[in-house]
Amino acid sequence: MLFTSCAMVPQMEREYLSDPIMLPSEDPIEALLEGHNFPRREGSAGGGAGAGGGCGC
Amino acid sequence: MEPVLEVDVVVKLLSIICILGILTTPFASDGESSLELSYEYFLDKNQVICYAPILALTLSINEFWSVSFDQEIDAVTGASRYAGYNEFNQTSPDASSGATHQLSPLDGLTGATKPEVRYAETISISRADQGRVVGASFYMSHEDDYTSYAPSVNISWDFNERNTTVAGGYSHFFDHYLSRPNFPPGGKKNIHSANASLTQSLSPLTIISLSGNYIDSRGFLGHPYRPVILDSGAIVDEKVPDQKTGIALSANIIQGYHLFDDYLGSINVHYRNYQDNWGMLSHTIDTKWYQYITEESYIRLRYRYYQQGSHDFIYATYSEEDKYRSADIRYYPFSSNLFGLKFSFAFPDSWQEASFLVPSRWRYKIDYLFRSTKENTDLYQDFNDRLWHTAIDRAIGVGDYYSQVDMLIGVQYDF
Repeated sequence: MLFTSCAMVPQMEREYLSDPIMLPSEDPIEALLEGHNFPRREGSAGGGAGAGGGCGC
Repeated sequence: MEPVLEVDVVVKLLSIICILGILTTPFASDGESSLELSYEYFLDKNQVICYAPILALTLSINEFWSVSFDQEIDAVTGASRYAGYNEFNQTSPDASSGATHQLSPLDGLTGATKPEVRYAETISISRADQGRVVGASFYMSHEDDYTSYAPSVNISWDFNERNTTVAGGYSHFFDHYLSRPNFPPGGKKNIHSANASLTQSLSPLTIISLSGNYIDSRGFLGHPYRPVILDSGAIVDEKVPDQKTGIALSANIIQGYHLFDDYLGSINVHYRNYQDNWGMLSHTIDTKWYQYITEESYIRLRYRYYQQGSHDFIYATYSEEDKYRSADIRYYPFSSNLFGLKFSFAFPDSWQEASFLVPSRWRYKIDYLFRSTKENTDLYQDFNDRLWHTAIDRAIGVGDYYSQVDMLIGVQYDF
């Protein structure tokens, strides 16, 4: 019911919402590197995805 | 310095690209398939360099199904072996035999010394129908001392006239630190990662999103290459708990606008809070400003601030009685500031019609990161007058700072 009350953008007015620059991350490769390589290079324990996939060493 | 990417690796990568190009020809019909070739170049204050060529292929099989393949080769000039030295070709004694080695430059943050390459591949398949997407993927990576395999599933559901999207996913990582001569044995670790998100359109130019990520890690969670110096002067292995649970909560708002001859622009503000049962608490604020400068080309400015505390078992010194001990830079408090600039330009259709070698789009990104640890100097291990003082002092930036530059250039072919 909460979400239904938010239905305020008709389909014909959704043109801009699907534009790449309106997405949380517009570049999948950049997002991949941000999630995996960046936290290790920054040296952070809580800044990235936090899962496995490589030792970062 | 020995080359990080050997000739045979480059040849293999080029071969993959050629083969994929041939294989993709039958799919070049519906305009939904793409091939992206990117190259990341990273350089830090301590002259550590990373190269990462990346290939990402997405093939649309029909109106519902698509498959994708990603290949990443991540090469670093200094991977962790011998912490404590910071000079190229510096001679060091072997920990066990007393023999000497010729070492490479250190990684700025990890105290790394050995060139290493990580090969990572991901294959995915997904089905999309009327805003409902189901997908599965399999990730695998290999280093000479580490392997990882991770199956994943994800689902996304649009409803409320597609103004609301609920999504979720689960991944299980099977990772393994392989045992290396003269170092502590590694071990296996299992990581369960589950995520969920809710995205809501509020207006034709406004989107908000809330998401959560639960991560449970078990097994060997430490690092075999980062020994600890006790207050007695003894050098001992790192010891950390064998279970960690972390939760990350994020909020994201994207506000679009029109400016400059009606070209679309947007402001993207993202906040992330992470905490785990080892006592870590971190905050991330990531802001991005996008602006189209032509119909299909845009620029992006970015500022990101990150701040973290420390794990509960992190102290300036350790004794034999301490249950847990670590000198891992990632567990200590710090803050960082990132400034970024990105261009994403579309090539004119006439250029693409002139030659199939002309891509649809090219991208270039450069990020500069400044990492400060000065305010937390007293929390670092006391390496004064110890064997590794100079290197660690330099590596973690005590009384100083650490910085890095990260560049990414790529081209995208749509077919």
